Amino acid sequence: MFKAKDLLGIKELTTEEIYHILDTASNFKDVLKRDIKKVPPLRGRTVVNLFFEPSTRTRISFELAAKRLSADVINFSITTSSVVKGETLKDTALTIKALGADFVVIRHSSAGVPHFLSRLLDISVINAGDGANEHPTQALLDLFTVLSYKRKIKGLTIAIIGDITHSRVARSNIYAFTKLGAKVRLICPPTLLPSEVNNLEIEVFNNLEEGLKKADVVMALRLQLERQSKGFFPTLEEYFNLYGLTSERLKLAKDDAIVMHPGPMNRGVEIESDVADGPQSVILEQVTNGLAVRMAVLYLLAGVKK
Amino acid sequence: MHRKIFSTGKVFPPLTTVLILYYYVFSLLTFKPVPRDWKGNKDCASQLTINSSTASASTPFLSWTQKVFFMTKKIMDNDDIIRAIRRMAHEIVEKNKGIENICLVGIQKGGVVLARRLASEVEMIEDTHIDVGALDITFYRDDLNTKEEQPIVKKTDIPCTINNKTVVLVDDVLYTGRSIRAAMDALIDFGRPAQIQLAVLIDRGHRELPIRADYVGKNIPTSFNDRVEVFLEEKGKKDKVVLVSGQ
Repeated sequence: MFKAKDLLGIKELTTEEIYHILDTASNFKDVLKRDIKKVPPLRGRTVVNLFFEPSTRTRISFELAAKRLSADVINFSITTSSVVKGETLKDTALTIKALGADFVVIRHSSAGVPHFLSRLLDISVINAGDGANEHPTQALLDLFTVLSYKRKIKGLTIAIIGDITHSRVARSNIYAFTKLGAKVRLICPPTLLPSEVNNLEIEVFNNLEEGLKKADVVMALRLQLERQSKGFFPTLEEYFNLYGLTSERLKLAKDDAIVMHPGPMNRGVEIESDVADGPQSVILEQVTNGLAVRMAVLYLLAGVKK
Repeated sequence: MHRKIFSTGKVFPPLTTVLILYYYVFSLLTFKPVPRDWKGNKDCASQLTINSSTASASTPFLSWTQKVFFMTKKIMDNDDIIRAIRRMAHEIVEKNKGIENICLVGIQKGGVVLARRLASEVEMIEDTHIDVGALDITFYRDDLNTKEEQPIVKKTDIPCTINNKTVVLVDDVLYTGRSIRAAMDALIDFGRPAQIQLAVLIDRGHRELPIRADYVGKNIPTSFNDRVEVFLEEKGKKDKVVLVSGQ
């Protein structure tokens, strides 16, 4: 089943592997409901969180997941490290390996960095987001959340709204949901649609109302304000008027549709507060599931023979 | 160079060749394997007779090949298993003086069905309900990196609080004792039982940890390379315990 030592992206995974991770995650979710939430399989292993980009939930989630599996965790913060002195990524990685780490969880602003580390190191590398390429654990936890509400993925209509171009979450989710047989719709302004979309078998809508019709899952993406220097849209207000998820618009989707967001949210930009905190929102559930999914990923990678 | 024996014109090979071929075929037809027990040892023919009537009487050819190539042997049949479970249920009731404060917990996956079967027997004896749970020990194993295949985690379901209760762990085969060690670790994460007891259908020896069972269906002497396979179903129609000896 699970052959690779690394988790680099959803693209590389088979359907079987994805379901194996999700099945294992559901057992870890049961563990997280117990009084004693810690199990011992990764005792004596070390997980290094190597985050070259700011992150709250992914880093904390990985840290907590590793701790729940009894591993030791080192958080590597860029501002207080030798990276500031000009150490290259390669040297940093080799140093971490020399210190005896078993896992590297990496987030980097450039796509392909985890793949580079994977070739460089013989320890497990987990992609926690590389540029605009992939964020596999986010897609896995989204799959897990949808499965827990809808019981199946096949035949569902998933509407992904917002900044597709800059979103690694969108890419991983497109791979994940199409692999498992869901229909994926992208709803975004033409300026925020990546050019490679034509190669994937997905529907594209430039009108939010049209795209939301009869959707089972509505996923709003964060408008990546730090990457919007080129004038992809006039103003934030204009963006909200056209692509903001409001409770009025949500009524167009199916009655039992769920609302997801990978976080962090820009309330009043891509999603209205009423929707984010509304009854259809499963956003906090996603965070909880993320912990179980990351535990499953760490656990399964630990079992791969190197 | 060929000789003509009869005047038919047919060519025959030399007589010595015919004799050698004849001897070869004859020895193949009359070959009897050296009796071996399931450990693969010769000169242990006496042990082979244990319960072998069910395995060999009806299909002699199959059992012949089984003994030579697989060395498979049925150790317990359906009725043996029913009797063993019934006796163990009585022992559980007797030792604990009733079943008031007792919970049965089967270890995934072989122990779960056995636990349910034990529970229904115990319920028949005592005429009251007994809690049955399932425990998965994958996260507590000590061989995550040494096994070839990926771990597949099964459901853990402990229906009652185990604090101050007598928990009877149930497994199909007791071997090294490592599963039981892991099961005790797992169980203790759910609470503090007053007592943990152990019930197994087969005890095959070779313990690597100081663990022993309180209730045993059958003790079987085995060798390290053997495999004990337990086929157990909820209904219990075609159940059996088979010993496959590794060579």
